[in-house]
Amino acid sequence: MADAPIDPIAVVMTVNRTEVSVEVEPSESLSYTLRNRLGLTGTKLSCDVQACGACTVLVDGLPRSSCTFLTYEARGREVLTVEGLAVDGVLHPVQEAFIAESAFQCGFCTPGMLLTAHAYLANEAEADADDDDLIEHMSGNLCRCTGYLPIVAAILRAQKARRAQIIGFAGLPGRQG
Amino acid sequence: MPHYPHPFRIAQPATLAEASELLLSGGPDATCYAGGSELLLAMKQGGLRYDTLIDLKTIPGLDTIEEHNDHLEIGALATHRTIARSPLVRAAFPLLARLEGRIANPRVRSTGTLGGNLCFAEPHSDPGTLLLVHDAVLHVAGPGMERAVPIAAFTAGPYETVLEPGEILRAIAIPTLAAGQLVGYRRVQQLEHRPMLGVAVRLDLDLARQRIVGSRLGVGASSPIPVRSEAAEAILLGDLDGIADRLPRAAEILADDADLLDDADGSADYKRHLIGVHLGRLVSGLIRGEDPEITGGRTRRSLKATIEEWEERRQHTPKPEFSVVGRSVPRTDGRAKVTGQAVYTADVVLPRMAHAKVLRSPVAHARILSIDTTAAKAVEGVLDVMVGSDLLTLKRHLFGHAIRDNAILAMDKVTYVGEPVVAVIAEDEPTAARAIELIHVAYDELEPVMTPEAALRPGAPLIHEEPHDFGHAPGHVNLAGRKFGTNQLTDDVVAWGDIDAAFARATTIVEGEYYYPMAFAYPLESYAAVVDHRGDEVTVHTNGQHTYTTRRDVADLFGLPLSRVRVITPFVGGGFGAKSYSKVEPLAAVCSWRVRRPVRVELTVEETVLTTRALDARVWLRTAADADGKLIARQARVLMNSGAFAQNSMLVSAKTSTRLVGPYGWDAVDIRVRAAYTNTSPASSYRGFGGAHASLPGEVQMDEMAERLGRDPVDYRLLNLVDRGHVFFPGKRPLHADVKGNLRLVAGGLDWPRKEPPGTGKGVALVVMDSGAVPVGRSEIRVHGDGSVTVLTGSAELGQGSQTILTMVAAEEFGLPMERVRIQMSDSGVTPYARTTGADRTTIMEGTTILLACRDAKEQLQEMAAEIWEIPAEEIELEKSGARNGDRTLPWGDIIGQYFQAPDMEVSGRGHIRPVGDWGLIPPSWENPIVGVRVATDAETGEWWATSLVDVADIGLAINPTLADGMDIGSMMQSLGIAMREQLVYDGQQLSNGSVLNYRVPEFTDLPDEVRTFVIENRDGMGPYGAKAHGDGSMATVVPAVSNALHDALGVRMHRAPFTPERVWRALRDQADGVPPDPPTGIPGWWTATEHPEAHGDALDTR
Repeated sequence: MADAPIDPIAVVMTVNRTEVSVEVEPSESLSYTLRNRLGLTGTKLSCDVQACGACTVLVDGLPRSSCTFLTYEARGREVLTVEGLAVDGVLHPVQEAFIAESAFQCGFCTPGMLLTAHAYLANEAEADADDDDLIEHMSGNLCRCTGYLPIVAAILRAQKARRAQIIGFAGLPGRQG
Repeated sequence: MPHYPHPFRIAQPATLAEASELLLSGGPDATCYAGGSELLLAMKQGGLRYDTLIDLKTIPGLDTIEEHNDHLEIGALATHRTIARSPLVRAAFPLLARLEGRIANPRVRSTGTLGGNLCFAEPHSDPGTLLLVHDAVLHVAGPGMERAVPIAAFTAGPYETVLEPGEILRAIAIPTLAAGQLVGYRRVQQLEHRPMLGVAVRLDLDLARQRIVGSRLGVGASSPIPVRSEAAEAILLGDLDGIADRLPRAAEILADDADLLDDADGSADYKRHLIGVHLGRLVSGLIRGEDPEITGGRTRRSLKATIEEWEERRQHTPKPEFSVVGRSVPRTDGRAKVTGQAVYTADVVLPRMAHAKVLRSPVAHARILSIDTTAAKAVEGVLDVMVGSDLLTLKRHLFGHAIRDNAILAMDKVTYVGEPVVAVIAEDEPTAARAIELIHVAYDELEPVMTPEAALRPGAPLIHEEPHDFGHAPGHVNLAGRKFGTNQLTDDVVAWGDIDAAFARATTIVEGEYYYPMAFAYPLESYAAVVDHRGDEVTVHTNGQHTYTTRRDVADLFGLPLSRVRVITPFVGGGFGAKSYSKVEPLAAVCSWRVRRPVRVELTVEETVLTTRALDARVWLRTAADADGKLIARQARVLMNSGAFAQNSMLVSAKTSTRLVGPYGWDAVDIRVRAAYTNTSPASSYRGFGGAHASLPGEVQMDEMAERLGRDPVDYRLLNLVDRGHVFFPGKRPLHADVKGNLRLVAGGLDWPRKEPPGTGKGVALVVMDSGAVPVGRSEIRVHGDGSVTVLTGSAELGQGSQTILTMVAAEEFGLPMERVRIQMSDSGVTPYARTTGADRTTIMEGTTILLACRDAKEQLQEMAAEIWEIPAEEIELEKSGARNGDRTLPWGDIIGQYFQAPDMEVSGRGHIRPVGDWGLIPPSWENPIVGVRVATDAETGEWWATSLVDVADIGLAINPTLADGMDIGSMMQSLGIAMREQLVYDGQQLSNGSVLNYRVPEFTDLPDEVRTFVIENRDGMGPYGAKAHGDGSMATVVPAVSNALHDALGVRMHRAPFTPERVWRALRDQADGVPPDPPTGIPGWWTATEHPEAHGDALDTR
């Protein structure tokens, strides 16, 4: 049985603050597009069933498993991958914290960890969130090397840096609005 | 590599009516697509196939949450995250909001919808069960009409609802709770992802009269569909006073009505028990006015203290004699790994690169009758389709470093489910994956041999009928154990003294059987290789740990000299021994050879499990002590399942035999380990192998002996441990460690011997491991004219941090900052030979060769400085940064510039080690891991949680303390998974849990409150500056320590890992029922049956 051809879908989306256009099969996953069409191989693929978190990217600021997120659905949306965390070569505080705490070994889970942690600190963490809340939120990302403790330490460090930054700005004269 | 679903098209209706039309016209080939978090998974795994997905997300208004008079209406397309954060839901149904905030993980919650969840009707789900007790009503839109379906009538079966063709779930209406209506839900889970049981309760309380006037009870995840039991509900009604008496009966009926499943999550028996426990807790908690906890479990303590301690250890006091060594300098691969720039094998793209995918055997043992590849070959984009017989023109078509039994593609028969049979090479991966589906293979099935007991029985069907050649790198394994004409692969014996005499004079003998499970290392990065075969030269990019053994394997296939094969190992995404020796490199190489283009092979995780798993061990162990309690003899019999190929099982078997000895002084030892070929997936190395297999029986039995003698487990070990310098294993290196002192440290870290509060307990375990593998290798360094240094080493960076450590050694030797040293690792075209990367050998062995290379270069530079200054070389002192003669100095770079009269010239230094002299004494390093574990338990459910993990890193010298520490935290947590729940299970011929969804490794939530490592630095090792082998040790000791801690907490002896809650519960029940422990049997039937046809011994039921 010869299947009727399936029309590709034209997708214009923003990836790491840059607009890109691709033509994809409807069934194409975002991880495939990123890795094979856009050369953004920082996004890693492991379980491919949304259980490990290695392929996590942010779409409009929310974490998604790019293994199972269809590319056509990113039309008109903003995608952030690990390659886009640092701006103009300046590392994001979460990246700095991961280096400072040795929060990775093989590094394969790291892109997903960084983006999940970044989304948590930016969107989810309440002001008084403790490490328990952080652990619950991160628990869908697997790491086989570090035993997790250094990653928790790194995210708490980044959280502290973030708070200090917010308080720091608020504390500057003339900045109270 | 990804799974590729059958191609589909997307329809994007603007209205529900339009969607309904599309559904009707599409028939069985069309379905609704909401969040897709379950649908797409099922389609990718081939379980479902649709031509059209009707994307409902484009229909406005389907994801809103609205408050109505007496109910809340949640749009079917509202995501779990939206519901969890909705102020309306949080106010009206706080428990539902909390549950929605705990579905799967943040990614699924951002994408998955409540409506999609209910319509998919996957049994292992939570919301449907909770909504049952809420009397939720589902509003279903159909062609031209809408109807309301009570949730209790919505699910028709697993993955089945009452939706008629063209009907679409529009919204979920949940009646507002009246005063006195209380709702509770308890999820029992073995993994965040997947509940194994959900119990939901609603109580309608008349507080004035202290009566329950209404109730709803639901059970889910353990039954084919969520079930409500009106009969059980009726029993709950009545006075609050007598509720405790009515609860057991209600639970009984609820469980009866639930049609509980016996499955991999647990027996129906256990689930019935859990329903009783959790219904009781929920109801009494609600009556007491408590806020019900969804997941229950232990109360987590803040990690603050543990993290502070981790930070403190990182500030390790600098050692004044070193400038770099001994400091926790940041990893050299940090920036690359946090920015996504680090290149792994699957990221390698070569010009004109093609992609290969294999068809695997669906049967365990069969002759291949025919293979029809016609349709696959005709697919556009397919370059070639290859079968086993196409490989017969190769110089060799089988590979294996120990035994050449590993088929690249099955030849005339298949030997396990998952064996590669046909390879498709195509322009891209999706094309290869889809062409695979068009291949037909006919098999004639043979009797499968699934267990070592069956495999070793005289007369068992042969897995390998022809004798295979031994491989090129057997290492120090006992090849004599391979008995051709049988399935026996190994027979390792460790014996000394008169075992019968020793047992005859013993006053106490302890005996038992133990089981260490089949595990999967699960490095996140699956096996991958990219190979470019150009006729007379082959380049291999691989994530194999052993660059140089793979070079030899690939050279042997084509009969090429070693110089014509270049193997490059980029960053490896975790190895843990699972990536030792060749896996997919030969396959990628022959694919490239066929199509004359570079070819990438990248496996899925499921394929990776089928390529290599770890060995299990069934152990019988007997220990004897004399009247003073001194240990005098140990006797063991061990059977291991090597699967269809030898891979590295011979070494695993050998190490299991040597590591069963332990650092105790035995008069007599009689240990025998046999591994057998079976029709299961091939088994090989996994971190700390042998140590882990040996320490479970060895160290649990130590505690049993201590108990029998009325001694404290730590004191009893101290009485029997050997001292530093003792040759406790005849013919091997004397022990270079203070094991007693180390044990005291760990015990102190657990507040030993203070008794733990009820329900909690602690235990210790230790082992000594002969680490370091074969002491052969070399390194080179180049000192450049500007004084900077390049290090060349054949070791691979797996994450263990050797790139950082080895750079530190060179930086130290030349007094350079880290940035002035660059290391080039594991590229056989460039870097010098390294035997392997594993067995904790890199720091001590490659570190030493780099140290020697640095010193060699300095000696050359000394000669050059002598010529420049025109003085004898002896008058020159070598300082870190250059040469000195009296007051004058010459930095290294200046020596090179002046000597060669070329500023960019360089000097090369070389260093090597070989197994002679001190390196000839085996093992190069004894590793003596000791772990202490504290557990909290729930004696009613058998659940337990590790709350403390304490170990000692007796490392000689910590070149980088944070990296040393990190290895221990990582290995303790990794092995905790095997204590908790990890076990590969065969169901007949099939591996039943070879996916990340059902093979459950530790998660963040498993992290104990306290994790501590004591770093011990006595500079008593063979490595640079006195470093000792380190890194894998604690993988070997956590499992027995947990067993011992569970005994301390609950009084039960756990002999079989993993110690799942159900197994603990069963042990507790047996104990309560007075079931006596197994009587001593002597050498068991399952062992003697491997030698005597008349003996009886059944295979172990490992489930």
